[in-house]
Amino acid sequence: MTHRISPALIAFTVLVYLFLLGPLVIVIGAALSDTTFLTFPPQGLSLRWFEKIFEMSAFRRTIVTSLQLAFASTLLALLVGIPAAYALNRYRIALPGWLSTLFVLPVLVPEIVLGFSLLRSIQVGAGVPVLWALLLGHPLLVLPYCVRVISASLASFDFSIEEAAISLGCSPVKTFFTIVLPNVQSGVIAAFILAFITSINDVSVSLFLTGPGISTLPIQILAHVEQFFDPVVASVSVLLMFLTIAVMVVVERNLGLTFLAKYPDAHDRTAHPDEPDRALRRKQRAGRSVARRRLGRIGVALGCLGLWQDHDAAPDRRVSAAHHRNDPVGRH
Amino acid sequence: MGDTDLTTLPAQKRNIGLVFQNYALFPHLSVRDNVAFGLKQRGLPVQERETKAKAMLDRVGLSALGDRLPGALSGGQRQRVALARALVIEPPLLMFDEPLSTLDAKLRIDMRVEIRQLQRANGTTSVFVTHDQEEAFSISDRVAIMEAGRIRQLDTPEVLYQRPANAFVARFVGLENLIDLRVTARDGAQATAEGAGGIPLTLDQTELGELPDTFVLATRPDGLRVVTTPTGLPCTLGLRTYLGRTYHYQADTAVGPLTAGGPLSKPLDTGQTAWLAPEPEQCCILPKEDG
Repeated sequence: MTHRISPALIAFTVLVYLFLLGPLVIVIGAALSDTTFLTFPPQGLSLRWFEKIFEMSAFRRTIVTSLQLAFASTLLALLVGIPAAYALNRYRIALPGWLSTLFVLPVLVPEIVLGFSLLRSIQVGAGVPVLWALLLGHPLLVLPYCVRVISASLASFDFSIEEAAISLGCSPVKTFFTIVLPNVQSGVIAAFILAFITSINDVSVSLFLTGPGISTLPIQILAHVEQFFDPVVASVSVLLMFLTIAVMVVVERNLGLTFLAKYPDAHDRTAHPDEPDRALRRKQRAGRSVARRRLGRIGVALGCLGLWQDHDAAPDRRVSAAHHRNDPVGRH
Repeated sequence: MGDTDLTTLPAQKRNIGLVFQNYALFPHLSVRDNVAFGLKQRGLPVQERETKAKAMLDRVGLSALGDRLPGALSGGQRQRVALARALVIEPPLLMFDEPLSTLDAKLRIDMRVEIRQLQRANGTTSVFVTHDQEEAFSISDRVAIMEAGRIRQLDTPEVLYQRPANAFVARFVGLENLIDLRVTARDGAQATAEGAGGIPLTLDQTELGELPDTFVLATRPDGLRVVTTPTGLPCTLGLRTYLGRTYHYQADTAVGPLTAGGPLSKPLDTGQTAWLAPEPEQCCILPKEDG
């Protein structure tokens, strides 16, 4: 039996894909244009606008800041979000219902308002330096996503397996790492990706919290398009897109949380059931060092980014976009 | 347990094997690793826990499936893994929390026998919690019947079934006819007792033992015979149910509705007047309870 697919359905599907992919195609096309202004379809093909990004220290610096900020904020948010989501689900019956709603509040508050109130309270009010203010604002911004996404995967988690592990002699803390975390791993990865993207794309909160010397890429793009209309913004967007994708791939590959729980274990053992104890332990140690090396690699990558940023101490070319405020304490 | 007080000991140090209603297997670990998990927590060397886990899987008949994840097993197989996982740590006490309630009827009986055999072979003291009376009676050496968190009677299945200690247990094991009686006259082996309706009932104390002054007479439907000669408790017959071996009648009496059994040879009609005669060997005498 053959199914005839209705032409209307095909048309609809095509439209949806156009809707989804169209903007990407336009941005990528514009980035490759040879003209000095933003245009689509591109006229002539060149990578000069990509080169231009690297010539402009402001972009270089803000790309790095954005990546570092997104990474740090995401980790901070996960550090708070994973235990929060765990507690919210584990003790759901005992906890009042509004408590989980509380963790969504930062999403409900318009980001502009969030940014402004953070500026008033912690930067102007408490005199917190720019970088620290960002490191406070962004985790707050992405925390709801972390809690929600991880809660969703904990919702289908059967907490009786936790009891089972404890009954078999596993301490509650160890149970959390060996039993709970590996089973919500996909949720944690999803939360990481969502939080990372939210942070790296954020304008509203950063707009208020960035200051002289420290800015994020979206703010820099905003400042740039206010003054120029060249395809640099398009190429920067493309670059940002691919950087984000690269981060996601690295996270998926390396941060698969299993390394926290077990090392080359089941698979190796089934492959060599007669393997002597010592060899296996060596292998486990190797596994652990693989995990350490992976974490190290991420650290080194971040460090390199920092060096790249510091290497060029060119004057700040960033155009102050939305800061019509007097410079608060603690800045030069 | 033994000489140690477990109340204040953290759960991970209690060393009690638990089998859960919903299996509670670790979904991210293979069957083999599930079984070996408890051994790993006890710091056993890899090779030893490997050997033990394999031996235990052999015993529950799952050695071929050691590499599978729990998600790829059927319900019965999963429960067997859970059983192996609890047994392999050789706990002095094994607790089953309604382990069979999620299985279908046929499998439930098979697993019941299997658990019993494993338990016998191991000699591990086991506590088995269930709602299923048949399951409890068939698997246990001793059964505790509980009501609202309190043990009402703790004894062998045989004693529970034949000599329940109170009305709750009696109803639980199917003695559904409970008649409040008061002895009005004694004459050697015979005693006359009266119920709420004031109709005297003559009972033989040789079978029932010495009757207390007030007591509850408990019988199964088959222990209360419907007769057409005026002996025992007069009643009006209600609904007749055919049960293969006998008929059961809903009978209205002066002491309330009762269920009685009658022979197949003489089906009686609804609305007919008859008498209910207790069979002494199928009756239980319970102490009268308040409320």
